[in-house]
This record gives sequence, C-alpha cells and structure tokens, in this order.
Amino acid sequence: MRPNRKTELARTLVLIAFCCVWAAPLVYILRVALTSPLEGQAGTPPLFAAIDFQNMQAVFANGEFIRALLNSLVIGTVSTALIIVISVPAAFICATREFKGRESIEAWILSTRMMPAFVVVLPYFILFRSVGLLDTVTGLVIMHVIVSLALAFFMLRSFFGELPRDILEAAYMEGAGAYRTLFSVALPQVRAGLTATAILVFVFSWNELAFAFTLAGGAVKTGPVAILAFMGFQNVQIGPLMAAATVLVLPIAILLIAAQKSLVRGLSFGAIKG
Amino acid sequence: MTVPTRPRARAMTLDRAAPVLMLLPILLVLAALTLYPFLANVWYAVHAKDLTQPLNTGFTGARNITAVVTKAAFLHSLTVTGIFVVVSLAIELVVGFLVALALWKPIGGSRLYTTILILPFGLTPVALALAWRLIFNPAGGPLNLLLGYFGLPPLDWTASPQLALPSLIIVDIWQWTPFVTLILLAGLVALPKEPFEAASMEGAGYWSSVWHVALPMLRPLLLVVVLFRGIDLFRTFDTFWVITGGGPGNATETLNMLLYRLAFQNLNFGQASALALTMLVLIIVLTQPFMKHLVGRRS
Repeated sequence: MRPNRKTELARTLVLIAFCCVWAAPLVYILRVALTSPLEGQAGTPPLFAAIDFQNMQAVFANGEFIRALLNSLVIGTVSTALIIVISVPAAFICATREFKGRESIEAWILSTRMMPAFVVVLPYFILFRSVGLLDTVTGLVIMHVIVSLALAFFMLRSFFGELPRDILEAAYMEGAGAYRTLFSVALPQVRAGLTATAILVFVFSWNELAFAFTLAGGAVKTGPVAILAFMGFQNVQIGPLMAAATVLVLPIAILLIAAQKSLVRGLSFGAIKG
Repeated sequence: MTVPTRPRARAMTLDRAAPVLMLLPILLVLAALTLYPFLANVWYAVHAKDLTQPLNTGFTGARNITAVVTKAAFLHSLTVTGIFVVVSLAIELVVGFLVALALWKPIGGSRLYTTILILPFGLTPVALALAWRLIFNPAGGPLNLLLGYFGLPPLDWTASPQLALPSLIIVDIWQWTPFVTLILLAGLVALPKEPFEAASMEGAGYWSSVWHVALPMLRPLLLVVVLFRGIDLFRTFDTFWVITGGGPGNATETLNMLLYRLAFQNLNFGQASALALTMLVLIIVLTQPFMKHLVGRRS
C-alpha cells in the first residue's frame, strides 16, 4: 500500500483521462456558444476559432428567456427557504434524539423520494386546474418543495449527527429545551452544512423540468422550459441554443464550486462517520 | 411570558413534545404532497378518466390496470427501463469506484479534479441533454468527427433504434458517475487505517486489500448509492425527453416516458394513473431490502 512514483503516475493518468472526458461536453457548450453564429451552425466549430459574443448578446436580448430565468430565481429562492424551514427542526430531532417511531418516520420520508414525478403531476394537474394554480409561480413553488424535501432532511440529518454529543447534552442540562438547543447551540455549528444543503436544494429547483413543463410553461416558463423553445422544428439555431445553455448552467457551476467542500461532505448522507 | 409556578416541570413537558412539534411541519407537507396524489391516483385508476371523453365517467374497477398491464407497450417499457437502470448503475458503480480509488490517497491537483467532478450532476440536465443531442448529431456532430479522426465509420447514435438506448446510457454515465465517485471517495477517506496495515503485514497486495478490506467496509455506503441512483435512474425523464423523446419508434420508451404519453398525449388519466401506481409498487418492492440500511442508527 506504500505510494510510489509509478502508482502516482498511473493514478494521475487515470484522473486526467476521466476529467478530459467529463470536461469535454462542457467545453463543447462553451466553444459553440462563443463562436460566430455562422461557424457554429455546422455543429462542430474548430477548437481554436475566434471568440465571438454575438450568440451571448442574442440570448441576453431575448426578453422571454431572461424572464424565465427570473422566474427560476424566484421559485428556487422561495422553495429553498420553505424547505430549509421545514426540514431543519425535523432533521435536528431525528439526528440527536431517540424516540419511538423514528425509524419508520425516516423510512417514510425517504420513500417520498421514490415517487416518479408524474405520479404527483396527474392529481395536481387536476387540482391546480380547479383552483387556478396551473401556470403560476405559486403552483411551481408548491411542487418544488416536494422535489428536495427528503434530500434536505437526510443531508441536514447527517450534519446534525456529526455534532459532538457533549455540547448538546450540556445545553439540555442547563435546562434549554429542544428549540433553544437547536437555535443557539446546533445551528451555529452546522452553518456550512446548512449552506451546502440550501445550495443543492436551489440547484435541483433550478434544474427541474417535469413539473415546470406540465403544470406551467405557458405564461410562466422556467429556464429549462424556455431553453426548449430554442429547439425549432426545422433549423436549430445551434449557437444561440448553446449560449442559452451556458447562461443556464453558469450560475449553478459557480454556486457548486463555491460550496464544493461542504457539498462533498453532505453528499455522504451520514452513511460514514467522518 | 408569565413565569409558571413550576418552570422545570413545564419545560419538561414542552420538551417531551419537541419531537412531535419539530416533525409536524415536514410530516404534514409530505402527506399533502404524497398521500393526496397517491389516493387520487387510486381514485383515477378505478374510474374512467379519459379527458378526450369527458362525459364518460364512472367506476370501472380494475379495467384501467388490466388495460395497461396487458399492453405490449408496457412490457416493452419495462424491459427498456430494466436495461437502462441495470446497465447504467453497474457501469457507474465500477467506474465511479475506480476513479474514487485514484483520488483516495493525496495526489497533486486533487482540488481541480474534485471541481470537475462536482459539475456534471449539478448542472441543468435539460441544457446538458441539448448539448448531447448536438454531440450525437450524425451529420457534423463532434462525436462522429472524433470517430472519423481515428479512422472509424460514423454512427447514427440517437437516430438508430439499436444505438439510441446505449447513447442515453452514455449520457447518464457521464452525468452521474462523478456523483458515485464523490460519495465513495468520502467513504474511502473515512475508513480506519488499521485493517489495511494488518492486511499488508500479511503480505496482501494493493488490489487484494481493496477487494477484501475496503469493499466490505464500504458495503453500507454502496447500498446507499445503489438505492439513490436506482430510484433516480428509474425516474429519469429530462434526458430521454430532450434527446430521443422515447424514439426512434419506441426504442427508448421507458415506463416514465410511456406514462407521459398516456397522460399528456393520449389524455387518458385513468390508464396513466394505473401505470403510475404499478410503477410505485414496483419501486417500493425493489427498494425494500435497501431501506433499513439507510435509516438504521449506527451506534
């Protein structure tokens, strides 16, 4: 198991090979987005073609697409806030206390993640149609809460589970109730985990297509729905399409890289003691 | 707040109720968002609910379920879904684990590798799927250009019934292998050192200690990965819908795509609900063995 020069070289080669494969499609998106529309239209611009911002300008001049991004921003922010408020106390109590029925409650929360989107979509389509929530921001916020509630719960549970027991017990000994302990002792300790969870939840709302497309998509389009409008039936405008894709994924890329460390920790769902 | 006569006692009762109070919001919301759809699906499934025939409503019993399950399309979709889930999951686990091994011990540039790894599964699937559509494009797409560069004949990729499903598997592997890598890497890094030292004392080589020491200790984590990835693979919609739309023909029509077609193209909500319930039962039965590993408390 002693690392030596040869294995280190082999590992580096493996990693570089894989990272090239993973980066290639992302490089392709950027490359097409930043080429002149004519050169991009062939499908594969030369790798070292001149950088050109016409496609990007076209996207930013497209009022409907920009409006869709704003919708995504509002829906993502509100649903993330709701999810955090709902899942923090639940995750805290499940991670730090033993009580009757905890395991069945957790199993049930997890099982809600198994619902294929359309199982939920059909009844809500009919319900929303009768109460006038079809094609509204409010309707999509409600739907997006379901997308990540279970995920947020399990991520937060793993962060709360990592807290040292003695500080929690000390708080209880001083007569602080569960809520006081949560707000004054536990929450400040898991700030990084909370941020990572919020970012991931926001990302999944930003990316969500099935609900956004079936329960809205007329007056209220989200980013992913709006980008599909770029796909014409005859001649796809490849350049503007990839420019729109860039605008759609760039904020997410920045968020993910910023929260990289705690995201990686939170993704292990407390299945490991770290 | 007035001070109660016995503050300690009152604090105690309040605190005993804490689990109930803290869990109430999440349970209520999840009930509204899952129990209602579930019951509604049951209701639609046993009634005629074909939006193209609004006057024809009434109790139909098991007719919708029978109509769905005996469809040739259902069996076909079940097969397509099965192939997609099993093949993608197997490759993602093996490749993901190998890359995690490569990153396990400190290595130069690991921060850069992690940065690249964290992107594919977080970036908007629709945008990536659109890019993949262009990459697979038989005429002038980069993938065929690359093949030509190595002297290989161009392929039809998503336009050919034989290659459409493998193309989608490639996209999923690209998108989700890094996710598997990051989870398994977190597991590897957290493993205790002693068992490995003991193994190398006994003369075990690298691969043998990976196989006999690391893998058994990672078992709970592997189960978590299989569970989460399995569920998501089963429900995959975005990439299928954007890249092939279930075609060519019905070569890539998974259960989820079939459900979409029944509900939003045929507008037959009764049959769609019957299929939705069938899928739900399938997924619950298949994931049951894995569940307890995730919720069991490790002491």
